[in-house]
Amino acid sequence: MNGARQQRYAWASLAVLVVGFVAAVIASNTFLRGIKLDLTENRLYTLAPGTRDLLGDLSEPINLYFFFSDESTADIQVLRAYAGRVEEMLEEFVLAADGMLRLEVIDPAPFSEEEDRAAAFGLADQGLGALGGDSIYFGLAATNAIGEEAIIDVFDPDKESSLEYDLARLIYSLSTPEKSVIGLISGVPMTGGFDPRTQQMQPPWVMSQQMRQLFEVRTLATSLTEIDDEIGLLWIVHPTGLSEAALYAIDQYLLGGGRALIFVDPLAEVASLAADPTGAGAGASSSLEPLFSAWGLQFDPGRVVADNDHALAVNAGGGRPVVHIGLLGLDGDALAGDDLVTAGIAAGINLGTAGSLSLAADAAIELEPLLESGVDSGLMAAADFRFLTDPLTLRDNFVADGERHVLAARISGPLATAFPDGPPGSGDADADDTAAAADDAHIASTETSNLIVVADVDLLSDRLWIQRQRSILGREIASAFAGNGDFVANAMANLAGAEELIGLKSRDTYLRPFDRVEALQREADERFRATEQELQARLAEAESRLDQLQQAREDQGSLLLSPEQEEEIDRFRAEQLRIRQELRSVQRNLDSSIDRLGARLKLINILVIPLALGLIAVLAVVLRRPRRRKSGSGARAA
Amino acid sequence: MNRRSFIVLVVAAVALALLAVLGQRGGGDTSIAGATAGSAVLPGLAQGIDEVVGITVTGAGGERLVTLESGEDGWRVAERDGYPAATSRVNALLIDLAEARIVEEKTADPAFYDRLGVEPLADATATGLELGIESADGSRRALILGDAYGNDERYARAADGERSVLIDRDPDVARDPADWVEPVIVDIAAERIRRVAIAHADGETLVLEKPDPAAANFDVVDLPAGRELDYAGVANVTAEVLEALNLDEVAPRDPEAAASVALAVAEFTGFDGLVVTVTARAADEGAAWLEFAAGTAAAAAEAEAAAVSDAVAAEAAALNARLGAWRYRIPAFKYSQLTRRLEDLLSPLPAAE
Repeated sequence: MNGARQQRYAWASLAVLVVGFVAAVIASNTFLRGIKLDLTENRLYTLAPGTRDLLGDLSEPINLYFFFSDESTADIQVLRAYAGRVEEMLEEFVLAADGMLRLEVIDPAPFSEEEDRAAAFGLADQGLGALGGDSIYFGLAATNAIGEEAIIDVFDPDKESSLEYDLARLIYSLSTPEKSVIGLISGVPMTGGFDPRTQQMQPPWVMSQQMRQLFEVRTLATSLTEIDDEIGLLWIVHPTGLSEAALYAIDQYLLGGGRALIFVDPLAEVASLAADPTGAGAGASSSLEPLFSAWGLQFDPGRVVADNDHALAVNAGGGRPVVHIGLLGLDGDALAGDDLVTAGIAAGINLGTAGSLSLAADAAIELEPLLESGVDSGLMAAADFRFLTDPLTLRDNFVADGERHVLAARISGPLATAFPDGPPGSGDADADDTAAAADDAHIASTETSNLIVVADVDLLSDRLWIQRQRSILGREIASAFAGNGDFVANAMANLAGAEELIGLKSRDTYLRPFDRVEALQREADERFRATEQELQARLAEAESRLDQLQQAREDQGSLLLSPEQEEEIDRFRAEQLRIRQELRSVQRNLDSSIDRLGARLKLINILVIPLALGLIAVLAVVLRRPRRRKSGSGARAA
Repeated sequence: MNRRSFIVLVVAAVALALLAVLGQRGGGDTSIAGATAGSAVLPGLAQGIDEVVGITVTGAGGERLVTLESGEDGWRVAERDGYPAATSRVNALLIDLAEARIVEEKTADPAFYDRLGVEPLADATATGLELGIESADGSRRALILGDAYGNDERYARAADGERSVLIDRDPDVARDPADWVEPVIVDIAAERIRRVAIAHADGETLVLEKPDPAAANFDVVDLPAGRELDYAGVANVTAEVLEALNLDEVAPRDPEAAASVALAVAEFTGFDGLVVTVTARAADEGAAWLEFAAGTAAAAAEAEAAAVSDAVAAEAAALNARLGAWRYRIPAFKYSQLTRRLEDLLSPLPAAE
């Protein structure tokens, strides 16, 4: 009877276990939702500290309306999966915002009020004709406490890596009603416009668009005569064609305590053709003289820093990538590790034909490098880089000077005016009252300054850090493959006093290559090249022997092959075969090494868990047996 | 498996099941800032709507714009000497306020109130309105209405609170007391009118008559020989003047003005014996003021004389009670219809050769 009861208990327990298991799954979906242990190296699935700080500092409520057409996307798994990710991240944002974020998830059915709401916010029906007939909404609208709105028109699965950054930027733009005002003085068409070369409207550079999301950017004319008090920071890019009055205005603005982020360039490729369609290169270089000289900052607009340590490989048209010592990919210790502006930019910064900054012997200012070249670098004439067809030819004139060149620097300390005689044109014979008044307002020097000077304009252009591709939704999306945007945003945030922006890192560019496989590949490549060279050498040798024999034959006036020649040809062919076989076996060995590595990994993945579980089960049984034996013997004794 | 283990298992399963159910019901609301979203803007107003006795509208600089007071005979506009207010408008406002719900919480920072138009009304540059609701028990609530948002939402803030909100209504709150008065002076259907007699100050008279209610057009009595009406129904529009006649302005009757000569007197006589007399008096500036008086005349059908007379007499009395203390200005085009002259109705004479 005992046995029967126990059996009943066993069956009942099984039923209870099933119920309990289902309940546990449902409960965990609700209460453990979003809880995770992020073991990725770059903590890709955890909110960045900067994002947490931003959300934690919110002082006024922000409302988020997440529109996702649930019904219309029933068959589009990739969108639904991504929508789940987006919703999870939004929930994490809400949790981190400690009550200041409110999230509403809305399914805008066709012709419903919710669809009207989505349209009222400016979200567009994605009209994915290829993917479905019904309207599809997959975007976010947000409102802040003072009636402002912002939207993310559509969440594109191909932009998943920048999802957190995009959301954080949106929250930032709504949480900061009064953005810092940046005055942009630019000699390149950063903000878009008509390009006389292509006779077409050019879109604004991604850099310009991103800065406008974070700051209020006002474009100032190169003929300006004064700078508005509201301008908190000057953004000077490729200052060519600045009038004397404009230079004076900038001079006085900086001496009056204003800050500036200055980009000059010995060869701005983006500017050279736009400025001079004949391609003669006029306007391709820029400098901020006479201000630089007055400050004691030295910059030679005719010299480019060539750096072998950080040279990037480019497609020169021959199919194989070639190294270009004027295009630099700075990373690691080329970036100042202890400056807020450059610390944490793991993706590196790409520069194109940058110049070198240094201090004059008697300079009173301080120069702290932000970006530096490697030791295997040197200065070359800018002219060498114009109309370059084969970047490898640059090496012909390259001489490393063994010094690190400063490519971008923070300038601080006392500044002197570049206009010691006062405003330009004030030295006229008949000085009137207004001129006298202007003289009185003239600032001759300042004890403190805070500028950042970058000796490259090309780093702002899309081609050095933006990749455009067509996404699954058929849209062209721009994603960053270098940290140029982060660098400029950090510099601007730092100078404008909006440090909270610095923590918002773009994560577009975390690459995780298979190091072991790459090492194997490199090893095989080297062996392959060695063998290939050997082949070439032997082939050349064999050919020369053949030639010699042929020469001898011709001397003798016979057209038939001599026995020596035939023997040589046979030997040559055998040699050729042997070396080719060797090449093939090297390739095969490489492949099999990679296959073996793959197989090993698979085995580990498949076997480890079951083995571990099995081991634990065995251990459990083994550990319990002595106890049972003890209790059994105890019972018998009793 | 023994009994104890089984019980433990059952308890655990039940606990998990409860959690699962709770989790589904909870909905996982991830918002706390939105705790007030969906709640009433003026809690308790819906229940006490009948106890509201006063509504005030205040503008920039604390200037009182409109005062509405509820009495035994309905709402009145204090700035118009207590003239009856448009009840439907007042009721619509109260219902809107009672049903209004908070959509979103907005700023609690006074520095940004002006972005939403909810800055305190003491500020001379304030763009919003303060709505005061007084109840019979003496309690008063004040709500600042700011800028409109979208088609039907508006920013608001309790005058004594810090947090501004977005509400799901855009209440119709006019700043001009003239927009709050009951606009209809009289509404007498044109079919009821049998005769219109207009006497001008210069002695000219115009009499229009219709033989029976079914007749299409009014005839001019004593039409001069050789003249004809411009078109058959030209006189009808004058008879229709009392139909939904709206005011432009209203003021208490001026006893001194009553003694002055009337510019014109128009007497409307109905088939049922109702007589409405409209007297136009000159104003020192602006359009003429109109005074209305009602009475009865012998009914057209003798058989029903007694019954009709009672109802008509009551109607006349009611009109006098309502209109007797007031004078009105009406739209200019209505005034010209009311004070027609004979020549206005006749076709023009051919030009003399």
